Amino acid sequence: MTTKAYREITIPAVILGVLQGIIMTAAFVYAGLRLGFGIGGSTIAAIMGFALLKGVLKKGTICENNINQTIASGINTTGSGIIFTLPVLYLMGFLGNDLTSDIKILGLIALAATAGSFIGVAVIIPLRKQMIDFERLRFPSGTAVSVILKSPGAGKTKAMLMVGGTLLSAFVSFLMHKGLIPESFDLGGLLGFPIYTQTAIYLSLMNLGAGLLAGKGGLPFALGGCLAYWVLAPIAVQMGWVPTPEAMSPEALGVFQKDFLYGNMLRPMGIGMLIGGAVCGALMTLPVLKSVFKSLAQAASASGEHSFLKNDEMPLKYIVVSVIGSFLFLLGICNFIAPEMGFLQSFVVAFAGLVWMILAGMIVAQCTGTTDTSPLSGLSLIAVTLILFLSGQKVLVTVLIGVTVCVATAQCADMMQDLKTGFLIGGIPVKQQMVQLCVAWIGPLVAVTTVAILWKYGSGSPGFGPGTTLPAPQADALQSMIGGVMSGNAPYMKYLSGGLLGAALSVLPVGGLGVLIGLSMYLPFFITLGYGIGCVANMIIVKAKGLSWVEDYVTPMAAGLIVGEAMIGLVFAVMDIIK
Amino acid sequence: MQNTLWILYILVFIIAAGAGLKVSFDPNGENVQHVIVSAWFYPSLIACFLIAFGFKKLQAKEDDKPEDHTTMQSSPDTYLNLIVITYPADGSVSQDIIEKIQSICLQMADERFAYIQKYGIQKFSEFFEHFSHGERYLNRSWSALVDNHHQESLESFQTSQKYFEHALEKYNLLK
Repeated sequence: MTTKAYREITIPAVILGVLQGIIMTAAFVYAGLRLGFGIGGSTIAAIMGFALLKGVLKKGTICENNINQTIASGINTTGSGIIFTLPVLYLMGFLGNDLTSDIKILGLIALAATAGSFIGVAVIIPLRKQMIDFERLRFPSGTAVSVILKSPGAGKTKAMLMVGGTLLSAFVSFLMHKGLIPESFDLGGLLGFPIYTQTAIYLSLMNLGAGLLAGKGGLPFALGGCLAYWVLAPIAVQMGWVPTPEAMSPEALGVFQKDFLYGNMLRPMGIGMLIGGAVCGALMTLPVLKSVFKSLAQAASASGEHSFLKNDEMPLKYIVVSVIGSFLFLLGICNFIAPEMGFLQSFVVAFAGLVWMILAGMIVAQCTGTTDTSPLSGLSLIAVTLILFLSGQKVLVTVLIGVTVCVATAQCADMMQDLKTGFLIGGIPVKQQMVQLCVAWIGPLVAVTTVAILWKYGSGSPGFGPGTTLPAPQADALQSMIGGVMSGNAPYMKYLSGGLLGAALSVLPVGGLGVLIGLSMYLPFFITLGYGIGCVANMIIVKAKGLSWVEDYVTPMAAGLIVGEAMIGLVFAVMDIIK
Repeated sequence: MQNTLWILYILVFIIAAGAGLKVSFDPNGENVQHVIVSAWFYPSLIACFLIAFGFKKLQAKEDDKPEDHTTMQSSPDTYLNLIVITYPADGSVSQDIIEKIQSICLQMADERFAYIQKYGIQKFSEFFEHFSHGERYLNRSWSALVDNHHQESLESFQTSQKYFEHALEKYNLLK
């Protein structure tokens, strides 16, 4: 027992967090260019923190380890935003030709990403109260990390369940990586469903674990998938809205229809629904936001008999400074890169970028809170479309603002997961927000440098892009999107119809319905279905055994399922780099 | 009535979303698209909004009725009173007591949608905010206790108690 101050923000926690963050950023940027998606680092950082702070230094506390994982994931999450946007400048020839020009543009990109990091953290301040304190969204990864952090005092059974879940998930994920078992089980083929309904179950135990943690809160997401692929998709095919090219085998036709429905109809409409749902949802929850701002102000001046009311949130002035600072920075970028745009056009572009950052932050926070999946790429594509349109097709300006938006959005999702972990272990929000702000510049620097090095010394010539061992699939998709907008083929109508439908869903008295149904259309059905099975299983167990039983037995097991797959993902990424 | 509205909403939404898909991809040109948009998509979309507002009206009507707790297992003051009396009078803290209070918090939090429906989102947020703070400090107390920091655990335990008492005060003023 000790009477010393409780350890929370300490030098070892900060150093360990920064070191892990830097290593993971470099590793995940490489893996992202190779595989096309980012990897979350919170679980790994928490386990390493547990081993080093508690095991080696013998001093670590639960809240101190939380600070370590907050820093590490805050740094590495920037990479997800960078790999999607920056490589496109290399692929389109804006970078990689002249060293002096490259350094200037890369410096601006690092600054843009840092600005995005700051605003991502600032946007979360009022949203934390709404989504964690009031809506109490589950944030499956954040919950999983809290289970790891709490494991020293959670009791033998919970620890064993978590370890069991981790091993099982790691084993299944390993077999999947090695190609020994398929990624999904074709349930539709077994039941005779048409291929275009995508009725397969993703065998990822991480996905199942997220559903198990979400429970009934995640059910609308699963039902939205059923509506999209079992009701709307057959309607579209039966009405003859999906082209049926001649001279195709039935199987090839099924695959064609599946890709067409997903790529040209459901996915764009899903993106539109995400946006419409978020905008309308924000309007519907204005009373709560008003209450949030009121309480932030009240807590700061609490006195007398209510002096125990602590101001654990970052002061409101940080939101104002971040918002104004980011706006001025975006305005400066527009003027610096494309002075021919003039003040008014630059103002409009910068303002649209700022509004989009806030909106996208709200959307990803809602999505990760319920389903653990983030529609980062879809939202970034919309951002790029919008800015490209408003800037009169200035690619460099568009990508720079795209970087800011992408990093801000990724930061929102990560910060919210970390704050959920913080809530569950009793961390102080302002301390987490402060450390994340202090290290916000490190991730962009590491990620930008890594991309530049990989271009110069990557496996092919050029270093990455289609046809090399680092295909950069996300950047390739963004390049296609830019090409589409510039040739006038952007799917504006798809976004509009989806947006209106999302708004109509958000008016219903079920929180976040527009965003959740939109996300279920945006994602392939096999992910939604596997997640939905987890939700239904949770509801059945709650009914049979009660809520406390679920917290005691199902939560640790589900957390283990998430951790195991994340660990295997990291192991394979590191092995790739070593090779 | 609510169930009927739900079924009606789902049917109209399917019609609107179906039209949305067609609007989304129309290989036959703008004129056909315009006709479809006018005749199918917008009316069904407006119907969706009307039904959704019907829900709101119905809820407002139900809120005007005398208070009844049929949609919730227990009212917030029942849980908050239970939490407050579970705190030991001697101010001591133990893992068992913390976990017992955490389990009551869990049950109360699980009923939050019924509270939102009953009291409206603004009133709900005014007392629930303090409840959430109390829960977070209770979690901190648990963590500090596991870390063998008795002083921090005790302080957080006491802070959590004050928050729960304050939440009860707020609720009693609002109801």
